[in-house]
Amino acid sequence: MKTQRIIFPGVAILAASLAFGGCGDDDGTEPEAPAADEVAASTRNNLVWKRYNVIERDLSRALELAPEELCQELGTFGCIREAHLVTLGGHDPIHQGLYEPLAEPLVTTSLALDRIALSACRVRVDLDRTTPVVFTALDLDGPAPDAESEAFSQTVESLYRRLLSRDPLATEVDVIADLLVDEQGGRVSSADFAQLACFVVTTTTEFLFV
Amino acid sequence: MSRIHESQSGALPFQPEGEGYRPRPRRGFWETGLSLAAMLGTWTLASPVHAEPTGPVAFCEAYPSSPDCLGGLTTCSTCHVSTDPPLWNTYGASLIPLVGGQDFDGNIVAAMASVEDFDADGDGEPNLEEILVGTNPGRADSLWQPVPDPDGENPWYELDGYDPKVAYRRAKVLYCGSSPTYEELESFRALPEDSKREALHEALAVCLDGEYWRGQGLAQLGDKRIRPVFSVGAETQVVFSGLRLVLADYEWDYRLWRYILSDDRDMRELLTAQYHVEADPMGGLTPVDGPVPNPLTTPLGGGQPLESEHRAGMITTQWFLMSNTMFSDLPRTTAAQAYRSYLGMDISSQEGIIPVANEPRDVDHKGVAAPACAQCHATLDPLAYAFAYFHGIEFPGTGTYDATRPGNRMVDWNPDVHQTIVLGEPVSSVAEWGRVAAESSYFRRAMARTLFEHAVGRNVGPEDYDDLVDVADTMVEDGHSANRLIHRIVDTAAFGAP
Amino acid sequence: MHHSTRFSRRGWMAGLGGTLGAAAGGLWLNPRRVFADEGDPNATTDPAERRLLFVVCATGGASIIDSFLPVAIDEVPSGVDAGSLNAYPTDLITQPTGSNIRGVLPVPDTNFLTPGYSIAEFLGAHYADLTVVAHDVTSVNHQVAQKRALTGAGIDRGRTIAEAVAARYGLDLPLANCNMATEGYVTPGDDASLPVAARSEIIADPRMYAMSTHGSRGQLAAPATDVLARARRIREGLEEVSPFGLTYRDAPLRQRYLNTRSEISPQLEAMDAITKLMLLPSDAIPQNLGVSPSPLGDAMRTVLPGVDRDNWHQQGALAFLLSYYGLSCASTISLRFDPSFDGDAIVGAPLAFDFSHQSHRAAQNVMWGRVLQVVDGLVRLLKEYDYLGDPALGKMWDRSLIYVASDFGRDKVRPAGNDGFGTGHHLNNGSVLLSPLLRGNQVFGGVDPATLLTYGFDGRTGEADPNVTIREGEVYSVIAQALDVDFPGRRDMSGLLA
Repeated sequence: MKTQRIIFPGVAILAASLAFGGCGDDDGTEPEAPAADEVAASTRNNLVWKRYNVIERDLSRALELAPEELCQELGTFGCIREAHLVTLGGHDPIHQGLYEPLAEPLVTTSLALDRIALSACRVRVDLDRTTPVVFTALDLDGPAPDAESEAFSQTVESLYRRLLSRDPLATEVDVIADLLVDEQGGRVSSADFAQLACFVVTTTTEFLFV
Repeated sequence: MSRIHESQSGALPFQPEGEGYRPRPRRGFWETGLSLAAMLGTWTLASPVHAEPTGPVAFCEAYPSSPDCLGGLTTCSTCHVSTDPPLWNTYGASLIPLVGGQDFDGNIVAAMASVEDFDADGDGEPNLEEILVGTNPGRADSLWQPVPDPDGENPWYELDGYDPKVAYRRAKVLYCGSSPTYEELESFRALPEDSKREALHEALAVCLDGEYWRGQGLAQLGDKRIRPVFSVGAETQVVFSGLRLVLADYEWDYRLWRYILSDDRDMRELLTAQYHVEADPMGGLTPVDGPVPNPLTTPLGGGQPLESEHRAGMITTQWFLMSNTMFSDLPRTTAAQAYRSYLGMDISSQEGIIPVANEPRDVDHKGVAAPACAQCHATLDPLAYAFAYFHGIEFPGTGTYDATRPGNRMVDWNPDVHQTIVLGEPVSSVAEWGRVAAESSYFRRAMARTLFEHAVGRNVGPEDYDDLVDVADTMVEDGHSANRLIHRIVDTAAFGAP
Repeated sequence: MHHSTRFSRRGWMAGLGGTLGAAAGGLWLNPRRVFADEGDPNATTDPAERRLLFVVCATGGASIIDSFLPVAIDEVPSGVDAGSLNAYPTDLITQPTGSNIRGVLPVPDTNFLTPGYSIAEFLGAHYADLTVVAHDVTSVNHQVAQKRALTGAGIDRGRTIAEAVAARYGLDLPLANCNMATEGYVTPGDDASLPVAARSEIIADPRMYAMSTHGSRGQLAAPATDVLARARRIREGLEEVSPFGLTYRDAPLRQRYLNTRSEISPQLEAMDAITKLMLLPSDAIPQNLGVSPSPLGDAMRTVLPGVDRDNWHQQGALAFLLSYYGLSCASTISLRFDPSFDGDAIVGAPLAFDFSHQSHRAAQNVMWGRVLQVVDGLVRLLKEYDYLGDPALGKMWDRSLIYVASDFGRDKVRPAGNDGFGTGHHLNNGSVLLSPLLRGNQVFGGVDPATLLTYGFDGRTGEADPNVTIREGEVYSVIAQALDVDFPGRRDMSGLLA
């Protein structure tokens, strides 16, 4: 079980993504990639912010939940279309007189997305206890799997495919393996691991920008 | 030597002219003493000079290939910090000694030519360079550097050009309303390189035909043009004197907007359509001939009462006339909103200033002939005259045509004198207003820019002008179809280059 | 997307490489200093020096001659038909003992609108702090005028006054500039060089906003705080190894988002903003969520009794809480064109002050009362509470300024002898300011009883001068000067300062 946290890409050995061209290992991870400082960065840097309606549809589809199941605030208000509409890139022209969506995320955008991801992921985990749909490889009533296990790699692969529409790199798998244990190194529950793994993937910038 | 680029008469000046249009790497360039003096912040002068509203037109006649002038007009801020009181930036200040006290219109072009090689704002780029790139020659903080080439290799993104995978993802997000699935993306990746573009466009076509784009996606683009207000719309809950306060129904506007921008229809109908659009029971949109009776048994708004012969698409719906004209005698707000929404020029921001001689005449005695006001109203008032024949809020009769309205409301009204001028062309009606506007390069640029900026998620910048020009240029041959325009935009580097 | 001015790509790139590590006081106090300060050279993070701005927008056109500059019928000069002017009967005008300012009493006929708090109540309570500034505006288009009311018609590089104050005092605050307003009042300014930290945080629903300030509390599904914190750290690790993260590691949009997420968001959570800003009462919050109402919730209800049902009162309450708790230094709130409802009873007027088109005096009287009730609440709170709860910092009032902005004025005339009339938009008007930093109990400028047009004053002395016209730029300058916000071109308005 890998517990070392990979922090600096210069230190890490990255997996090369031939999967983007089609080659993947049987465990769903990607081959090695060049070192981070050898990877060219974009110079155009034009990113498009994925707005509330796309977030809702993507999450709903990825986690096979109805939009209204994803998240509520205070048990009453829909997170995406009510409580956090504007911070998620929407706008209300009819009542608020906001006739254009905001150009960039707000201070509260990441917090709102955290809330929605925590909720939606947990809803999926709880439903999967009886009818496994996403976390099919996990025993949600038991401890988190081992980092070398198929259950772990399949879960990570499933999350990446559902949420980011690609296979994970080996280095990404290594990072997520840190969620299998707590700060003290003790194994967490499978359900907690599932929720947190789902959460971290959902709230990466790759999910929010395209 | 002057390098003023001559405009090609009658032609849409979208074609870049020679090498000078392309951005060059920044180079060091030291200005003459004249520019140094200008750079030292001479913003206010004691000499009796004024802001000249003919400046933007003169500028664009001199530099038709400046990005500001391609289907648009530069603004007063090219030379001015303020026009009331008149304050100049360093570029404008450098022109003052060359035209001050002389006939402005007769000398400004030569003056601009004479300072082309100088660097008025001291940012290292000559004035002409900045003009042709699209930055402000009078502001050092308005500067652009070309995007450098990526340094090295990237195994996941095609950084040095167009990446179909990136474009595919973005297209799905923007136009289908959801990201591609893993399976879809894998299938796309597996395609031969020379098949990816076709697959991208096939997917895009499906998206554009889908419920998301036809509904939410297009509607959101219409919000700032329609500007709905719930409390006076068809669903209002406000009741007074036993009447629900329905002044008009903006859903007609949304349906018309969505209808015209879908299915390869001609976007010019946004300004020329004589029909309206209803929702059919299956959720689709169906054109209907007007007028449409008021479904409410009240003298308030509802339906579409305007006769077809007076119709000009979106700028003659009941909601548009009600919410913009309201009670005004001369509907300046209406004309300004039409100009802003469909020609992309906001007069309140000194965009699109094309003053008409002997205007403003201040027909309604609002004081707009004062020098500070006339700068804009010399353009705005002639745009508004034709709208004076249309009621705003009127019980009954909101949004109807009334040949007697201007004369009844404005004692000095004289149709022979108060001539409507749109983009320099006299017109006799709002319908004609719409036709002239729809045929203009300004309309094409405005619509192209709307869809372009939506696609790339930001305002257009110097790095985008080439792409924007290219796609706008195709609109005529593409039948002014929004869908085809989107297909063109998706093919641009601005959209598909990571 | 907003039509921004051309901006410096070089400036952005320089800014990104600029002041990493320049923060003083560590991450906690100065989370935003990761990027370059592109703004006010006098920017400060010292709470002792901080000033607070509250912009209260009287949407739709609040007329000063229907509130604090009324003209009595018997003051209209002979020879002028007082019945054709919007002059009030003497018995409808009040002037409290000691007050230099007059006000309009509740009018007898408010149509179907429900009167509430009155101008007279406000005047009686606050005349000593009231500053009335007579001025013109430069647009009668709602959206254009609203924006100009906040930007001073572009006098300060296009910045809104709230943005300018945030750039001066709020660069270390997590939500320096909050905007809950509508239409033109919620539109950002046009200065592309504005520091990121000074940009507006748009708040659509003040009642729910607290929930946006914490990433987990209130969600039953949330893990323990330390567990979530660890997951977030792991997420940052993912960002550094993912193909997307590596490829777009220099993307400014992504970098800003990451910085906000790693620096500002934890600050909001640690400050317990979710509790401090929670406007819902305890009985509206499910017990098991770990969410509590604001400790000052009941205090809000005392002075803003509509907090539990009225968006307008909620805005006022949230604006106070944001400043009190050191989250913000500039808040903008506004009436909306949608009225509130108390059951079936309408609160306020549809279209806010713009209902003056239909019923001028009723709309003005009722809506001024509505605006002033929130201002009254704000003043009471600001005078009662020490800034940041620290007696050493003095009362919040000592450092605050409230600016009641209006779109524009209304027509000064009426059908002869008719008390139930409608009015159009008018450029001539005035604004209301309240602050110990200004000379209170004063009217600057005046009103001509023959025309009901207001006139200006000498900004340096405050002396009324019928030959002077004050406009948006001067009003902006008053506020800026009072709050010690400097900018090129600021007018000298010393005559209004305390």
